[in-house]
Amino acid sequence: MLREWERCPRHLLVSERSNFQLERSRHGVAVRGHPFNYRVSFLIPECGALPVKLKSVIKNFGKYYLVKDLPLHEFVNHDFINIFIKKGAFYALSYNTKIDQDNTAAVLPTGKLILSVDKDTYEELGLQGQPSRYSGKKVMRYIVTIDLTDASFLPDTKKHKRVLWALKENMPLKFDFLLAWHSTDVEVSTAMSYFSKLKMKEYEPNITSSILRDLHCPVLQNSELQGKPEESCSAHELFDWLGAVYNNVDCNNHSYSFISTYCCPQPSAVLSQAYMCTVTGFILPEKIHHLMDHLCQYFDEPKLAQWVSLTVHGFADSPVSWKESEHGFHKSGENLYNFVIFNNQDYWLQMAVGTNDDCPP
Amino acid sequence: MIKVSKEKSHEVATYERQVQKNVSEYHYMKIRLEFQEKGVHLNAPHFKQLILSALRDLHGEVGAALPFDILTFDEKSFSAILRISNRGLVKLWSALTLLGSYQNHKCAFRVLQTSPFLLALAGNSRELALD
Amino acid sequence: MEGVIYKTLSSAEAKELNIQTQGPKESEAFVSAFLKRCLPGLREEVIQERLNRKAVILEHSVKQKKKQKRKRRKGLSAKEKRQLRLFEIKAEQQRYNLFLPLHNLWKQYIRDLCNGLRADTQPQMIQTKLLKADLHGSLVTVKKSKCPSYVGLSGIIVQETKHIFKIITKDDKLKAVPKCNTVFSVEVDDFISYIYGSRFQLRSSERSAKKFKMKGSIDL
Repeated sequence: MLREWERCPRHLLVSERSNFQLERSRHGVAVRGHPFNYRVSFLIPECGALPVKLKSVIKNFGKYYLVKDLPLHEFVNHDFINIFIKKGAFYALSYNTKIDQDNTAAVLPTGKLILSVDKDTYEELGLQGQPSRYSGKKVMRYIVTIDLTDASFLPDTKKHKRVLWALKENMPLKFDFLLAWHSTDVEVSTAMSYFSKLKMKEYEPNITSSILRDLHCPVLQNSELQGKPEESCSAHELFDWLGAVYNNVDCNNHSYSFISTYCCPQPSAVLSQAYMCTVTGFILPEKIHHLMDHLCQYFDEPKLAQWVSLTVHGFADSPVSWKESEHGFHKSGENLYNFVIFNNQDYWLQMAVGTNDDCPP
Repeated sequence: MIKVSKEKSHEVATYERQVQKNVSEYHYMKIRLEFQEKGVHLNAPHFKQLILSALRDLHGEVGAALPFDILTFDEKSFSAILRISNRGLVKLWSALTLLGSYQNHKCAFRVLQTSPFLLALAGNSRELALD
Repeated sequence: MEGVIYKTLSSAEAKELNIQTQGPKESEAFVSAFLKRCLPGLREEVIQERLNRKAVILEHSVKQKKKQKRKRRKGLSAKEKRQLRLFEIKAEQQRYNLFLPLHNLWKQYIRDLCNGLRADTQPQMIQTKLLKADLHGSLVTVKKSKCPSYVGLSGIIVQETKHIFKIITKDDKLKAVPKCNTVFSVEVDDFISYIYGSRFQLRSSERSAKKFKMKGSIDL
């Protein structure tokens, strides 16, 4: 039994090293494939004030909406599909639903409605689904996927009627939804009036920033992902250190300290200052990609910093992590990624997931 | 720990991918100590002492010898981030759960978040409070 | 030795003993004639058969009892009925409207069974009655099922077997719904009862005698 205790649930960390200029570079896949983002943070070493360009980028992250008691059959409605799904990227995620105990729903920009429902709901719902991959012998959770853009999903087809019946008459599921929409040619706020008959509220992402002084910072070398002893730190060590920075952990400890023995990974250097900015809300991947492009351009002019870091936290209770790979909540629902952008357009990408997750792309 | 690594060397040598399984040796826990009544004061050493005594009560001297770190401690909200080796996570968690009092004040630990990645504790989407 | 015993007597010896010698044919004819005379009741073939040598096994053998033929039932057996397709409902008779009178009859039957359904009737009483009642003709709906495509099916029960309800739906389709892993709802005069099919896997005739026990939690 003790042996059993000492085992920890599996977690994965994928580290990649590439260059933005490369044709095969997969940074876009990682960013665009991660639909539901809760927090975007970036750290710029040796920077005292945010460049104006970057400031305007994070100011224009766009609004998101919270719609209360939105019945699910609204998403199956063809007016909705024609307005939102076909003319842009629509993102919706049920709010305040815990995926390890409640039913959860999400609409992906690819036009898929994903329901993660418990066993009892599934048995009553009447829609075909798949047992969750992480459910073990006794299946307690099912994933129902409805492709709203499917050619056979037209009004008055058998399939559409069945889905509509299930969600409207048989089991009128309702959720509070976080909504956001990205479209190039239609004004978002006018389109959102579609939901005006429901209780809807508009939100702006919350921006906080701070300047850190005299920060111990690990030394990185862009070609050494695994690090070199005595010369540079590995990607994983950096990942850990970033966590310490964002959590305001004191890195100046002695090995004999009673409270904490946590130290900055070695070798390290002291930064006189670093700019840290955090944006919290329901943030679209398109905006993150936009921000990343601007962070790359940060090095167009010569800078003191060797690198900048961009960290994105996903929603712990989202039914998907990347693309359509299933996401679950075991002890924690982490799905996050981090870019370290070097001044020569090299980058490191780290993607971390917890126990009930597929390997990131 | 098991490490799975694969390296794809394409025609471009600058691309590298590495998949690491269970790479983190530590688990991080975000916890909060709650008291029934107000006005209890506690600083970081006392806080650590409290957790140590909880470990000793449940797991004996072996449990009390478990090394863990208090990375942050907020004296106002009694919230803290702990670092514990993977092997000790269950022991520490169970000891925290079963602790019931501090100097005759009733109290309880709430485990807010755990993760093998410290960075994951920086963003907990369950804390997103919109009215 | 044998040769000496069985060889034919030489003519000299015969003369000496005053015996007429006979050829093999003549002797055979003599034996058969003699036997015929001694056993007048038997035919010649039977006598010949007796003369044949027979191997006799000197072991104890159990005489097999002859199977007693079962008493034939008056009607056909279930197997025969199945072969004759008596249980099947012909395609042209699979019409919802045809079964509506049966449904009305069933409603009346339940009302009689429960001594008239009033709004203040105890639901438990109805449940105990329904448990033993015949369900042919009742209007049931599938509320929950492990297989989602059964959910929402609704119709009149036309047949009940140990594991299956056969129901006819409003659009004149005959559907077989397994009882296992399915929850049905039955409505009688605004009283809705749920049938947990997994606990109901009995023939209707057996069900009336079965004692249902309430224990544990029920899942599907």
